[in-house]
Amino acid sequence: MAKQITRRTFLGMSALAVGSALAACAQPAAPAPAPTAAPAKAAEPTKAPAPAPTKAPEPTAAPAAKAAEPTKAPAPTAAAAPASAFKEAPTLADMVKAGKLPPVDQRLPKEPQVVKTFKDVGTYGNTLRFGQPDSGLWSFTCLRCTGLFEYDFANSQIKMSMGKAYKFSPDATTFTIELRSGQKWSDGTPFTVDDIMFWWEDVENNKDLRPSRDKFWQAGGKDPTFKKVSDTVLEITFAIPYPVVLDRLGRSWFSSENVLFGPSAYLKKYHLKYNAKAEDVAKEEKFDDWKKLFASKWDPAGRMLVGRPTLWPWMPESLSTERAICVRNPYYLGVDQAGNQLPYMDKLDCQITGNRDVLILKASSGELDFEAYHMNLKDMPVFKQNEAKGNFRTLLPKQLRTSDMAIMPNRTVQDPVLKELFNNKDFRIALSVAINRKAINDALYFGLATPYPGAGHPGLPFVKKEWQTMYIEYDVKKANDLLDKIGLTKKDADGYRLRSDGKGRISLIQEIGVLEGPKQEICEMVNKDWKAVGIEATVKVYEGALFNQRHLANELQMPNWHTDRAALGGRSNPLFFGWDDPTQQRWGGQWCLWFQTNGKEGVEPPAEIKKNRDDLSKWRGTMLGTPEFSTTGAEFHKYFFEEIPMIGTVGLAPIPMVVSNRLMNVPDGPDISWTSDTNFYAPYHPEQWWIKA
Amino acid sequence: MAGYIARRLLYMIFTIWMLSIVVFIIIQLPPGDFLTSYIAAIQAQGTAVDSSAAEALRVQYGLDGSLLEQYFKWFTKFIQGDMGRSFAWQWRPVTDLLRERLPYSIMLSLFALLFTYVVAVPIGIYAATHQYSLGDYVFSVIGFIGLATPNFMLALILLYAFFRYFGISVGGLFSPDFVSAPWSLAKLWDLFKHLWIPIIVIGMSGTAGLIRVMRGTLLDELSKQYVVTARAKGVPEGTLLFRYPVRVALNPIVSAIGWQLPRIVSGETITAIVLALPTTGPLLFNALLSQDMFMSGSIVMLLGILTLVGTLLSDILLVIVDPRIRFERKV
Repeated sequence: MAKQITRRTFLGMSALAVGSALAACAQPAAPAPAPTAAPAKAAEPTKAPAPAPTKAPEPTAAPAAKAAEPTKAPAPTAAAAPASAFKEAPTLADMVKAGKLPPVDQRLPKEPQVVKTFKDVGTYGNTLRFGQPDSGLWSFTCLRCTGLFEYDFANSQIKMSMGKAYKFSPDATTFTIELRSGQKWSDGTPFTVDDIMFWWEDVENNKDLRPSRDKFWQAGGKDPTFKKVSDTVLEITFAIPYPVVLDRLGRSWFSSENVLFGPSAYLKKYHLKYNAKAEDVAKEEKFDDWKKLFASKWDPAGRMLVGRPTLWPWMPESLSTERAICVRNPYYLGVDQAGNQLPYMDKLDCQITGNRDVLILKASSGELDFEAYHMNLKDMPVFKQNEAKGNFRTLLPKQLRTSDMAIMPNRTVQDPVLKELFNNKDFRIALSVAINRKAINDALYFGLATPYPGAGHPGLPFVKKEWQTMYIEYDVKKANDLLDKIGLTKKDADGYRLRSDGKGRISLIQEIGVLEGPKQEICEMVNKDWKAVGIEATVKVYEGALFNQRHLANELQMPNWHTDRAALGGRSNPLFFGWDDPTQQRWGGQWCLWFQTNGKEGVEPPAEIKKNRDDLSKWRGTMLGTPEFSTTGAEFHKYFFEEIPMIGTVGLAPIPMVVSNRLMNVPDGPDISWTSDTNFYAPYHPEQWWIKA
Repeated sequence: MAGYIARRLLYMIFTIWMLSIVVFIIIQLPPGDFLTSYIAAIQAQGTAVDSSAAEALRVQYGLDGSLLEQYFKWFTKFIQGDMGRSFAWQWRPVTDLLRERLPYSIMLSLFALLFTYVVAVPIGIYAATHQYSLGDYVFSVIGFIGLATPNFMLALILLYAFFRYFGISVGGLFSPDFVSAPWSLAKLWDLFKHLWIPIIVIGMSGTAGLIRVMRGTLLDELSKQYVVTARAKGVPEGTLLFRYPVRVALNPIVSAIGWQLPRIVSGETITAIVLALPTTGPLLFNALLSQDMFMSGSIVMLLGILTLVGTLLSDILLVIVDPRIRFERKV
């Protein structure tokens, strides 16, 4: 609370200080000059209000006196100054004048989210040119997505974003979220706890819409209770201590619209519970039934439904098979440190090129202002050659995945000889030390990646220095010695080691179901290294759906993937680091199935795996930043370094980010990273980017 | 003739029904459905879909029923003109999407076809009348190169050249400023500036084949007795050439016109993908990849129906062009 007042006072003072300068400017949207930006420290606390998880959310916040403050505080004496503490885009100011829109301080919440700009305070206007290769629009969606929470660049902290505060009860069973009072959807209807309750009661718990449920919310096997305390305060009580809920919501996507809440006022007319005629509406719009109609309004894959209210900085304006265009949301809750309502840019214009190569071509000829998700390090030479001509710069944020391609020997593979080998730690170590990671790094990553085990991210506080180099040294002799020690001494005429059952040589298949990054090339190089120690291996690329299907049927030998769950963001959904989901547990799918079905299906895992699973649930039960978080986390992650179930190659590789020189405030420097999860753009805060015309 | 056409139309209804079954089966052939490929795509993007959440999605997308049920729903809607909605394109109606793209496809294909005919037919006639001359050899060589170069290769080369030497990307049919602008003279001009590359690229491949067909059939005709007779009777060379042998030589081309109809809708998919053209080809391609079944099913059905209509049309055209062809012969 004290912090809030400090910021208000500061805003008032700074407004006074530059009051005359502002008054002199005819346009209300004129950017405040540097002085306001410089002492921005005061604005910062709102940006990261909850480093300590125990901080109270102050449910009584926003009393009447405070509510009136935003309009009162700056009160510049100059006559021409705007009446509000906040400034808005000229286009919106015109609409306000024409009476089409309420004034800016009525559109913003009582305490707007203050986003400190990366560098200067920007100017309003212009259109961001963006691109996508397909109708998936994934990258475009993520560019716009803002959630209640967000991770920082290093993926080591969770901060508030749209939400105001949160609190855990001391036993971590109750999680309280506080929203900003007065926040509105893009159509002007209020955003309240009711919108979250709508999701929980009428979507997630509606048998018609969700015949089976998302297990994440059923902590301890039971549904949590959602309790509306007030319009802005929500209490969620779990059956067990469940601090990991914050890890999940920190990934902005999961604490945002269509996932955690939806515009209930808009959606109710499509929901049978609220509209008895929903079936008729469905027929009218040519849907089979109301469920499909509702789904089309609730969860359109690219979030590009024109007319559906949003909380994000830009709202969909039009979608064709060539273009997706979004325009500013006049009700967006963010302001910069000078009180300018965000976003700065009027419009986002996303071309749908149809294929990735045309996108790369457009990016490298300077026809796009920003592009990252679909860029690949192998395109780097093209970008570098054309930077000057295309008037752009190429940033290199580091990805969080510790291994761009981790080899995951299926420990429950059908072949009994391979199963025995894959379950032999020495065999896995031999495979690992036989790999020349430096060669991979130099050949495919220009030396910009890091050789690393397929295990925890170095940013986790408990990942020890010595773990980070464990079994990744290139040592052909050690590999050969280990393989000989296992008893694989017999070789055929070509020098390949033979199987113990006399059925020819040992032949491994590395399977890939995702082509992000140079996976296939890495596999080829690894196969060559393995050949040198007498192990034959080939690589096989599958279409994604087929890969999943064959994996579930336990028909894959080495279903390789990237270890993108190695940092904190992975704790809520650890995939191959965890035991929740057999479709995603690549190296122990059948064991995972055994856990899932309580022993009815799958294969019973050995004690070490059972212990690992227990360690994970212990870790997931600890609160971020506590000593227990580190001790239990270390115990859990130690397994992946010491037992190497996943053999890492190289990771922490940068992704090229093409940024036009006219685009300002895109974070830069050694700290920027690429989270590769659902919210890779969130820490970049596109709403504070602006275009220098 | 009318009875013949009526009978053919009747057969067509039956064929379309058979077609729908084949189309549906083919579309369901790859493992999984839209959802599994959607989930795979999401996984590649770094998000996980819980298996229970996947089940919920399956119901929402209407993929939970039996295959027969799904087929029945789709086909009854299709014959009523409702092609369903595209999963991948935010549930937009397939008809809307086609309406957006079809005009460009048709325009592009017609221009390309026109380009092919305008270039190939005169060259074919020239090559036949000047057999084994230098001109014949030069055109033949160029023709064969055109035939041997895959369209997409040519497109790639042009893309590269334009990017490397002019610093512009050729993708699409409009400059970025015009794509979402309303129609105007400037936009039309912009369209024409972009149009010629795809027209040449797409038209090129057909040219070579057509030159050879034209040259071959015309050569056959030129040595026939009626030509010799006409020449002996003193018919001027030009009149002789165009009144009889050229008309006959056009027969194979006319009979193939029907097959151009489906090509007009989804011709040159690969070129369109490479050049990022807003035509139906890439739409179909991506729909097949993502198993967006209503979208791909409807387009494939449409193509099938167009082939049927096209075959009928070319049969009728043949009768008009060549009076020697008769339907029924009463002995």
